[in-house]
Amino acid sequence: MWVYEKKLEHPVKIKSKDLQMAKFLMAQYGGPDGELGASIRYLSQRYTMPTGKTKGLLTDIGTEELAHVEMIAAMIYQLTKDASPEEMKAAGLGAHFTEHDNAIYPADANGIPWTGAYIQSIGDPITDLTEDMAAEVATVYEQQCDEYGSTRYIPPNY
Amino acid sequence: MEYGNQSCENLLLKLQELTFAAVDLNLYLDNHPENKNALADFNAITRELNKLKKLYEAENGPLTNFGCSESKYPWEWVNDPWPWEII
Amino acid sequence: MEQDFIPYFNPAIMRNQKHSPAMVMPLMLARAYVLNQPYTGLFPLEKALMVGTIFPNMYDAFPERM
Repeated sequence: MWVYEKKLEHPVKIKSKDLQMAKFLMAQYGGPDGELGASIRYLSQRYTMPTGKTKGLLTDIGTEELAHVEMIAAMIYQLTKDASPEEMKAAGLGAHFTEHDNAIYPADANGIPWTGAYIQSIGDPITDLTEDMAAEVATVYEQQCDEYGSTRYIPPNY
Repeated sequence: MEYGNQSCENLLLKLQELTFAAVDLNLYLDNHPENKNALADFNAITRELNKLKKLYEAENGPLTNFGCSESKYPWEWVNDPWPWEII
Repeated sequence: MEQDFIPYFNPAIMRNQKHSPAMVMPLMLARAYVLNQPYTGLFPLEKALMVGTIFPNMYDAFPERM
């Protein structure tokens, strides 16, 4: 059973729009290596884990990943808040605006909606855990850090 | 530690720091259930966290839904701001 | 299924031994392993939230590209 705690895991306080960054952050939200995928992956795999420790671990990681989903969504929300349609179009988000306005929608940076095809839950614990380790390498984060500089990920004014 | 005079923002930040530590320790303990030091640290952080949550909730209404926190009248859970709106 | 599971290496076994796990339990080809993480204390909590982990032995700052 899940309960919700009305606070972010880490503060997200973005004071100004940045539509380019929002577009790239979508990869983290609804992309194949994003937090939503991570969360559903762990929460799906946990049912067929053989020990209490692995069931506990995957439940806890999956739950924490949901908190990460929330933070990415908060970042995208703050980065696109009050953006006009013209600004969205100039940033390459024109199509996104047509479909979703300024709403948060789980898709990747190219607008491709999130799908269960991004995860695997196969029931063999070694295979599942190996898939988890591969997913956690987080190359996408490193590429985004290279693009933007890693200090941009620390909330401004923090 | 005294938090009575801390601003609401600082209290929220302290809650976030403690929760983050509790989450990380929870994950460590899932793999090392027999580690006494980790467990002692986890329980100390949990106690501190529960204390601060009561303080925070007295000012700002319930932090959790579905029966984990009580609310004053009128129902406070629906109050703004929500976490993604706190800039 | 259980017999295929890589056993958790209980640190209680290692307490009085000088050997690393790799010497006591020979590593096999084509397997992924996760090393046991020793508990060595925590970062101050303000720093921990900033850097993304409470464990100093897990901290690996991302290098800025030159």
